[in-house]
Amino acid sequence: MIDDSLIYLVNILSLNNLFAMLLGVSVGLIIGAIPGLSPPMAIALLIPVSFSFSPETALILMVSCFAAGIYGGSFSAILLRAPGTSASAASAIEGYELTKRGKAIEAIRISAFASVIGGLLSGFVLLLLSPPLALISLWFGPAEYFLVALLGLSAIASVSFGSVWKGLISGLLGLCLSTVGVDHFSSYPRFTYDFIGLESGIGIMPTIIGLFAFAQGLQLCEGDPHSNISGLKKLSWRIWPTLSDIAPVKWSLVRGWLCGLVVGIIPAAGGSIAQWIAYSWEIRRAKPGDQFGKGEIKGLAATEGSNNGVTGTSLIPMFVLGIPGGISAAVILGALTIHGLQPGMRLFKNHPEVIYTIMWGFIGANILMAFVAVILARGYAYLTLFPRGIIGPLVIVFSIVGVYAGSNNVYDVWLMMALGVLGYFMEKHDFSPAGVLLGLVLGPIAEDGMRNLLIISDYQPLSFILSRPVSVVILICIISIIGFSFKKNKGTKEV
Amino acid sequence: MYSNFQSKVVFIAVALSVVFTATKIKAEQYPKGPITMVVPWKPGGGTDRTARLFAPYLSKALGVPVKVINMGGGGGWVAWSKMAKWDPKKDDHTIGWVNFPHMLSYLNPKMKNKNNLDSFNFLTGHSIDPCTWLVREGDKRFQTLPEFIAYVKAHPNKITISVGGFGSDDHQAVAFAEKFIPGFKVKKIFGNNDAKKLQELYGKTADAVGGNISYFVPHMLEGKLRPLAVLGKQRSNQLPTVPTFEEASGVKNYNFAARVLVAAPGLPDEKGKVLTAAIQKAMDTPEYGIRELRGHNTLWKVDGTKLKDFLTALAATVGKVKFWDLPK
Repeated sequence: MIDDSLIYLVNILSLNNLFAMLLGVSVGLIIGAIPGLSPPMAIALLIPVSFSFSPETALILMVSCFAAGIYGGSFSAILLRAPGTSASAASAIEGYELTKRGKAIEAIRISAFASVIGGLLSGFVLLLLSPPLALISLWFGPAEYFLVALLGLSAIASVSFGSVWKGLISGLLGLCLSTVGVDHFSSYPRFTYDFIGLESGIGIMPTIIGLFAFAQGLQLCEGDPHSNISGLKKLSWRIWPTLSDIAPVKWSLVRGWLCGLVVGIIPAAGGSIAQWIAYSWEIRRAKPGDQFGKGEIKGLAATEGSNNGVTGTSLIPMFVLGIPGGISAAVILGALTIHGLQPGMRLFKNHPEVIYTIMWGFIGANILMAFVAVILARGYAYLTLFPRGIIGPLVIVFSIVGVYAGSNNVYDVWLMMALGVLGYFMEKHDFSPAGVLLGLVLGPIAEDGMRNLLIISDYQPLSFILSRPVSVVILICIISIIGFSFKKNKGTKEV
Repeated sequence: MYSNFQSKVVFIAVALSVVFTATKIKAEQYPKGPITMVVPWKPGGGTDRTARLFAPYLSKALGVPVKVINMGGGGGWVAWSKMAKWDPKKDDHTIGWVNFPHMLSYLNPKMKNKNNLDSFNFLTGHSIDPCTWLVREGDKRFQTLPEFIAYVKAHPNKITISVGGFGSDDHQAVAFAEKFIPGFKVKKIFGNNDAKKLQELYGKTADAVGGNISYFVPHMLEGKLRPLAVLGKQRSNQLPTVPTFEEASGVKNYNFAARVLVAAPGLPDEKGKVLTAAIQKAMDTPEYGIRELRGHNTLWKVDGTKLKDFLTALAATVGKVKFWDLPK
C-alpha cells in the first residue's frame, strides 16, 4: 500500500499544492482561533475559491483548512479560555490554568507538538489503513451510539473537580437543555414557548462561547484592571519544544493520540467525545503531585493530542464509504462532488493520483502547520500580557460579534449572553460548565440512539445490547469508569 | 445681455433635463449594488453548497456582486420569518432560499406559525430532488419495489426503514405507503441526516432508506445501493431505468425536496422580473449546469402562476396527510 501511495508524494511539492496548503492552514488557524467562526464555515467559504483549482489542489486546500481549523481552536482555548471549536473545549481547562500561572508559552509548545504529531499520525493512518478501518464505522448503530454517548457523559464524573455531585448536576442541566427544540421523532416543539429561535434547539456554538468566552470576559472584568492574565511582563521566544519538555508527558501524548485515532473513526461522535475520553483517562492515571484542574501539562498534552488525532481518521468513512462523519467532512464531500469526483472505493481504484495526493497533502499541511502555528500562537499570546481592563471587555465584545457573525441570528446572541451569565456563576460556585457542554453535545446522540434502539429491538434494549460485541465492550468501559470514579471519591475522603 | 440670459435659460434647462434623465436612468438601473442571498441554514448543508456554487454565476448575470449569508435556526424559520417581513423598499437587494417541504411545517398547528404561502414573494424554482427508496445491492430478500412490498406484507413490522426527521419528505413517503398499501407496516427509525442513514443501511441496522436521489447516486454508481423506485410523477433524468413508485406499485406516492428563491413581498414587478430573469439566465450557464450535474442536482426552472399552483397543491396534500397526527 505504501508503495502505491509513495509515488504520489512528489505531487504535493508542486507550487499550486504548496500554495493551497499554506492558504488552507492560514485560513484554518485564523478562523478556528476566533470563537464563533468554525472550521466548516471556513471550508465552505473556500469552495468558490477552489473552483479554478484542479480537484486535488482544491481538496488539499480544504483538508488543510480542516486540520488547521481544529488546531486554531486551541489557541483561544489555552490563552483566553475561549475555545474556538467544540473540539478544543477540554483544552480550555488545563490550558488556561497554565496560562494563568505564566506558562502560556510552555502550554503552546506542548499543544503544538501534540497537535502536529497527532495530525501526522492521523494522516498516516488515513493514507495506509483507510479501506479496512472504514468498516469499523459500520459497527456503530443506535445501540452503540447510545452507549458511546453514555461513555462520554461518564467523563463528567472524572472532570468535575469540585464535587462529583456538582459535576453531575451540571451534566444534567446540559442534558435538559439538549431536549429543547423540535423533536425529530414526533415533530413536537419541546420547551420552545413559541420562540422561533428555540425550534432547532440550543446551538453548540452559542453555548461554548457563552459558557466559556463570555463568562471569561465577565470574570476578567473583575479584579485589578491593570494586572494581566499571565502575570508576565514578556513572553519567552523558546517556542519549539525540546526533549526535556516532551519526556515527562510522553505517555499522556500517546494516550491522547490513541484516543483520537480510535474514536475519530466513529462518524458524528468522534470529534467532540475523543478529547473528553482522553482527558478522563489521564485523570484516572493521575499520580500524587499531579495538579489536574489547576494547570496540569499532562492533561493538556492528552486533550491536544486527541483532538488532532481525530482529524485524519474522521475523514476515513467519508473517502471510503461516502459517509461524512461531521459537518466539515460533509462540506469536503460536497467539494469532492463539485469537482466531479465520487467518494468510495472507485475513487481509490480509478483516481489513485487524486486521492493519494489529497492524503499526502493532509500530511504536508500538518507539517506546515507546525511552522505557521507557533508563530501565530506566539503573536496571539501577547493578549495575555494586556491589562485585564482591556482584554475583558474585548472578549465580551468579540463573543457577541463572533456569535452574530457566525449565525446572523440575534436569538443566538441573547442565548449566548444568558449562558454566559450562567457560566460565570457556575464557575464561581465550583459547578462545571464543561459538564453542561458535554450534556448538551451528547444528549441528542444519546436520545436518538436510545429511541431508535427501542424501535429496532422491539423494546427489548438490554438483550439487544448484549448480543452486539461492540456494545458490550463500550458497556465494560462505562462500568469501569464509573467504578473508578466512586473509588476515587472514596480515596479522596480518606485523604 | 438678452441673448446671454436666453443662453443661461437654455443651459439651465439642458442641465436640469440631464439631471432628471440621469436620475431616471439611475432609478431604472436595478440592481444598483450588491445582492445579498440568504441561506436559511448553517454553513455546510446542501442548500448552502448550492448557494455558494450559484452565487458567482448569478453575480455575472446581474452585473453586481452576490454575497451569501447564513441565517440558521428554527428549522429554517428564523430566516423565513424575516423573508416574509422584508421591506420592498429597504430590502429590494435581498433574496433568499426557501426549502420545500420543510417550509410547510407552518401547517403543523403545534408550531403556532402565522405565516403561509401568501407571506412570500416566490421568484422562481431552482432545483428539485425526488425521493427514492433504496436497499443494499444484492440483498436476497428484495431488489425491486414489488418484492419489497410483498416481503413487508409477509413480515409486518419486521423491516426497518431509516428516514430523516418526523414529517420530512422521506418520512411522509413511508407514511403514505403505510396509509395506502394495505398490510404495509414497517419500523421507522429517524437517522436525521443522509450520512447516518447510509451508516445504518450499510451497517445492517436498517433494511432500506428513504432519501432524495442526488445524495445517493454515487452509492448506486459504486454498485452498493439499489433504488427500488423514484417517488416522482415522472422518472428521474438521473435514473431513467428506475420505475416510479406509481409504475411499480400502482400507488401514487410523490415526495421530493425543492428549493425556491424568494424576494421581499410587495417588491415592484419590474424588479422581480429582473431578478427572476437573471436567476434563470445564471441557471442556463452551461458551466454551472455541469457543476450541478456533478452533484446530481436537478435544476428546476418554474415561475409565476405555475410555481404558485405547484406549491399550493403541495401544501394541500401535506395539509391533508397531517403528518403531525400520524401514528409513530
